Amino acid sequence: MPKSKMNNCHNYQAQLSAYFDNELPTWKRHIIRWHLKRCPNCSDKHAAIQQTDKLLNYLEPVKTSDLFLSNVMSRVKTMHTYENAQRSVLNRIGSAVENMKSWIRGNIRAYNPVYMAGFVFGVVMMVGVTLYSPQIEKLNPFNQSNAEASETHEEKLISFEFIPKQTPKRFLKIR
Amino acid sequence: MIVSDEDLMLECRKGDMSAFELLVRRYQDALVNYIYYTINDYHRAEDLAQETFLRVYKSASRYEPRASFKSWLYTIATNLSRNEIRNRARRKTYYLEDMVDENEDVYHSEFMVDTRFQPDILYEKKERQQIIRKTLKQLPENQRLALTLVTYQELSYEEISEILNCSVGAVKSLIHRARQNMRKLLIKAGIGESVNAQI
Ligand SMILES: [Zn+2]
Repeated sequence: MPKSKMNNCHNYQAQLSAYFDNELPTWKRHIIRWHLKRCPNCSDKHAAIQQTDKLLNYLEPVKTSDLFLSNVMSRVKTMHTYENAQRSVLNRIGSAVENMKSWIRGNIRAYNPVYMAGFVFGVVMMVGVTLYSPQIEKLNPFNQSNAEASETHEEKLISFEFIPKQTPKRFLKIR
Repeated sequence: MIVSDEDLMLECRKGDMSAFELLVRRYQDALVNYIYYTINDYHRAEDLAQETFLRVYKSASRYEPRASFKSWLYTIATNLSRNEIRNRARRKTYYLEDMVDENEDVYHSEFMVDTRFQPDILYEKKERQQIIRKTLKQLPENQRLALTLVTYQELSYEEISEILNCSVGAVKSLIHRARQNMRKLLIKAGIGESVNAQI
């Protein structure tokens, strides 16, 4: 077989499984079908794929046990009861937040004008409160400027501390 | 009217147990078979299928119908099967699977077919099925998963690519190589029959 034809066949053979599974676009299927009619080599490979699949389909499905469904449902119910008992307040808050997030996400995705307006209002309010917040700092007795003032005052007290001069009880005589 | 899996899952998210039950009924056979073909142990396959449904139920509250429910379900089952295959390989334990092979017809629907008075046919069929099952087990993990999904679950390449978390091109090549290897192994096992070509 000439080398160019072999390469060509190699390309076709790489597509044969997808062709068999009906996973190729129609135009490709037509080209491969046309080639298979003319090329005994590729046609044999296609037959081999069909036969392997036939053998694989010899396996018959197993039957699920009759108790399968009831076992799953009872395990789910047990899990449900246990989770309900175990669920703390924090978990409830967490799931509420989660639900709220998915609710907001869902509604924003749907571009519902009412929810969009509500969302925009909420954002504007938050930005407003951040920019024009009341001047609480001044009322705070523990804010930075007060602390600095008291510190300076203390320093002044220390600098004016009076240490009385004491006369020595006896003198050392040096000869 | 048939309710879609995704709609049932949304009902399940609201706490509707009957919607969940319907989903289990829909997929129990397919899922048990899928896991059974990948790990080759019937009892463990049922356990893992149950575990898959429990995980689905647990995640129901977070479920959003972005991808298809079927792909999501098979992704969970595939991850569980993969863990099982790796654990077995690590422990080099074969559990009861070879014994199960001997007694497996208890669970097979082949008893439904009336071959009771044709022992030769029954024996030959059973032996052939055992060879195929063991041959399938010899394939590399990803090839086995892809081939099982396309042959027995009839999933599209795109769905398989979602489940195995790879590109459609990779799935195409996985399935092609899986069939090539399967063909070689079946011929070696004596049931490849006489089509001259190698895939
Ligand atoms: Zn050709």
